[in-house]
Amino acid sequence: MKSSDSHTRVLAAVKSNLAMVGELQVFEQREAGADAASALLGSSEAPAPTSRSSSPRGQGQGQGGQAALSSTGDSGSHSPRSTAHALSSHLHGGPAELVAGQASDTRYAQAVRDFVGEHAQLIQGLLSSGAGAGAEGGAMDSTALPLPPSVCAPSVVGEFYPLRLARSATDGDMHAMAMGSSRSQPLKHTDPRRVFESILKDAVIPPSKAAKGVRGGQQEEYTTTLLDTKETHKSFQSKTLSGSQQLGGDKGQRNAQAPPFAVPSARGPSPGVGASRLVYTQTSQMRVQSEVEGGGFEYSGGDASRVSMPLLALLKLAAQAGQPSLRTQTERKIKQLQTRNVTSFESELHALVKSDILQNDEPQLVYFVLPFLSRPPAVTLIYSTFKHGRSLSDLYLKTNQVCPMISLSYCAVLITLLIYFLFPLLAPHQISSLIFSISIFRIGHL
Amino acid sequence: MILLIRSGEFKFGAYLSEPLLISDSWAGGPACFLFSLTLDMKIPYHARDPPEGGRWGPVSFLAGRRELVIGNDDLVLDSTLTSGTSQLEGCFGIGLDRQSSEASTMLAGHSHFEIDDVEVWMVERVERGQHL
Repeated sequence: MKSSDSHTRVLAAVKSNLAMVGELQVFEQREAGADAASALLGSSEAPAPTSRSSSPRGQGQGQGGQAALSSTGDSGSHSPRSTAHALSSHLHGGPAELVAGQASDTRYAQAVRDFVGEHAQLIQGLLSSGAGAGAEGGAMDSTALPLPPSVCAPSVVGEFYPLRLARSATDGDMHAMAMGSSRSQPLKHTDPRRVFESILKDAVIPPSKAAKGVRGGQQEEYTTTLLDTKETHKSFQSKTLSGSQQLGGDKGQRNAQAPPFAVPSARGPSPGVGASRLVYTQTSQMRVQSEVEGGGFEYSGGDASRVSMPLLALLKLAAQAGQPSLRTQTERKIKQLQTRNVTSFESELHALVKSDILQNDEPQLVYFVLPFLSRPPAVTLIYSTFKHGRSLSDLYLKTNQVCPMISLSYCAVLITLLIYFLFPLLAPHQISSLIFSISIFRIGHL
Repeated sequence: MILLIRSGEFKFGAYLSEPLLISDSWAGGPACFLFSLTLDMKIPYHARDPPEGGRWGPVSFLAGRRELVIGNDDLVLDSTLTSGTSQLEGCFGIGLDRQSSEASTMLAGHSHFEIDDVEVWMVERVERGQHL
């Protein structure tokens, strides 16, 4: 019952918000054609007819704010590919128009507005999916929406550009942020339409600018990428969900599978006017603080210097960096050493294989990236947090034990300075004996 | 010396041309580099934004008591080896924007990361027993 009730309230909120902007008819037309929406409308707890008509702004916001749900799972029937095509074709009228640069910014602005109306069903799907779980769990779940590169900023063209949408089950406010881009910013609004508008304004560039940086061929390239990375998208999305499930639970606990999102706040902390805010803790985990003070809500980005990036985006960035990979360098080094395989380095690699950090072929990657030409060096473990105390002092202590030569050099410098100042006070035979003693001391240590 | 760090699913490290001995002065040189095993990439030394107060000539790291600084905050480990920060393109980089989020997250996925494991390996020539 809770789930149905949440669906109903969300549906009412979406409709009221759409009605507020005069796009209710478009929404209802799409809603009538969708099976999922029909099922929702056919439930016994459907919203009252009054909520489907144009409602005052305050009423719409009130319903939207009271809707307690979370969006989880995938984004309904909208695949990343279909969404990408829909966005691209709708916003820019196709790649050819992009290249020609004929679309104006006015049309872009109009396209952004129209997008929300035409994709109202997507909004509904994002909001209604998994609503019951979020309402019962009291947690904040999310879903991700990829955008095609043709509607992204030039700096993120070609990247997977997911967007994170979440609605807090505690206060019902919408949270949205863009991920995987240097332009990522926390977005905050209280109704789905404004959320999508803000996302598009942040992620989408006008066609006049896009035409300069986007070629017609990249549209097809991105389509192929989406097809190739379909499974990756699923895993990425599941990772996002697994991370978001911890938002209401392990607050402050470090987790290696933390949700991959980025929220650099360019504006910095703002005074708390709203009901919810995102706060970054010391462990870069996101948690939701409820502050029921009425009205909307303001984001607090926390420390603006704390930034995160999903592994997938970093892998793509590394691939585009043009740097030879460690594996490539390993192969080159082996060829340079005129060896047919790495068996001749087994004795030297034997120690690295025992590393607790390195796995699989990583010992080879580390070993062959070392700067040597013909004489393979030997490697010895001198410090590990598995075996020694976890501190820099312990690390330096172990390093100093292994490298007495350096310490001896410092001692030699000190002794030399001492002799320099003692020379005027010593007789010639005393100086000779002192130098002889120091020489014996050094030879003994060497 | 080889410094290996694991932070979650990210494995990265640094090659330091001189031993890690506590000092108040900068050490190392252009032979040092960072690398990321997770991203399978080497991050070479370029010293576009070298640290201030370094000795004459190129420097790479500062083995201080409170923190180990590699590059100009390219990789910084705290004294407890439990957390660190990263902001590439100071002394090491691949051509990213110094202030970009990519530069700060390339190594560990986060600009401020927690350290799970640390290992330090001594590299020495077999014949002479000389440290590399």
